[in-house]
Amino acid sequence: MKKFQFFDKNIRQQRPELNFCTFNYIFAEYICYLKRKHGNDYDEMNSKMEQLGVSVGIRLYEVVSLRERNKRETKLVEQLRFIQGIFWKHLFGRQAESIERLKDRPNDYLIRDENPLLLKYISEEGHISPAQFMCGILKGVLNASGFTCQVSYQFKTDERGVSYYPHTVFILSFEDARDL
Amino acid sequence: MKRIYSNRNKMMQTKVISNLNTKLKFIVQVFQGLIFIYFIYIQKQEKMFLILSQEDHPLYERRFPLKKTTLVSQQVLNAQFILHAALDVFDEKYKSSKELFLKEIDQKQDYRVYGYVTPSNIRFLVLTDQDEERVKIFCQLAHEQLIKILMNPLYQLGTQITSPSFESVIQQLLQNRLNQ
Repeated sequence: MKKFQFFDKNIRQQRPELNFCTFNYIFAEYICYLKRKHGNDYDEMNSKMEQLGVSVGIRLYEVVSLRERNKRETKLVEQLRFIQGIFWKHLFGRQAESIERLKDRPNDYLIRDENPLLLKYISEEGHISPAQFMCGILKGVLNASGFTCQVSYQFKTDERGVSYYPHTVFILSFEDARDL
Repeated sequence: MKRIYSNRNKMMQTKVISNLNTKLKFIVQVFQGLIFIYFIYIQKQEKMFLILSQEDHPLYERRFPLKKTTLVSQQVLNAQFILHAALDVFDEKYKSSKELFLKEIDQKQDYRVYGYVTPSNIRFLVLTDQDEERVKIFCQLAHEQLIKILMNPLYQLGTQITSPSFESVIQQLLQNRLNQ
């Protein structure tokens, strides 16, 4: 009978709140673990974080869809609005700032977040960053809903080189032009 | 005189017996004919529930095979064949629809194929003779149970679901909702 208890739980109504410091403690330890394991191999570290983000993203997307609304999206722009609004709010407590599109890169969309929650207590190092984990989450969500893309991030810097860390921009590059 | 009489008796007896024989044969033939007609018009079909991933990997299958083979066994098509054949129609429908429950996709006499898509493009297929409402409720409940399986971090996305408690929960749902 113990096994049945897990499946009897109702996941529709739960809105669990987690202490951010707890999460941050584990996450910081994870970054330290990656650094210890891979040393100076930044590509490997980034890809591992991204993989973690992808598996988290797919699962979270299902749960958030179940709890917040019961519809799918077939158009890309609607899906991005969903990610920026409801999904971001569910994960980080606020909506992302904006969705943008550049003229000279028609295949890319940008999601801008001025103060990402995950980067609050982590300093800027330049090579690896928890922003890669967030890229992974975005990639997982978009790939799962049928829009294949690559996600990278950039910290905003001024022309003079002044850094606005942690103001982050996530660049979503779509390969298939039909998705746009 | 006696011999002739006994001979006549015997002839009469054999006539009566042969009459009975032909009558019996006739009755038996009529009965066989009725069974034949019964099995042509009142076909029993296998029922099936199938979960497919985005890349068309089967995650979970549940068949209800017929216990006794009928006389005209070529007309009883494999449930798996029917479901897989309904996949192209399903693909067209789910790529253009925002809804999760896609209603009836295909039909074979009384038995209908119903489709349901989750936000991360995992597809449910149900071959049954029940009506739409029941199948919709069943699909929604099965979706919730599937999310519980997905949330397991040790479950690799896209592989078969082998958890025995999932099977028993799905079996309960099928018995309650679909009278299976």
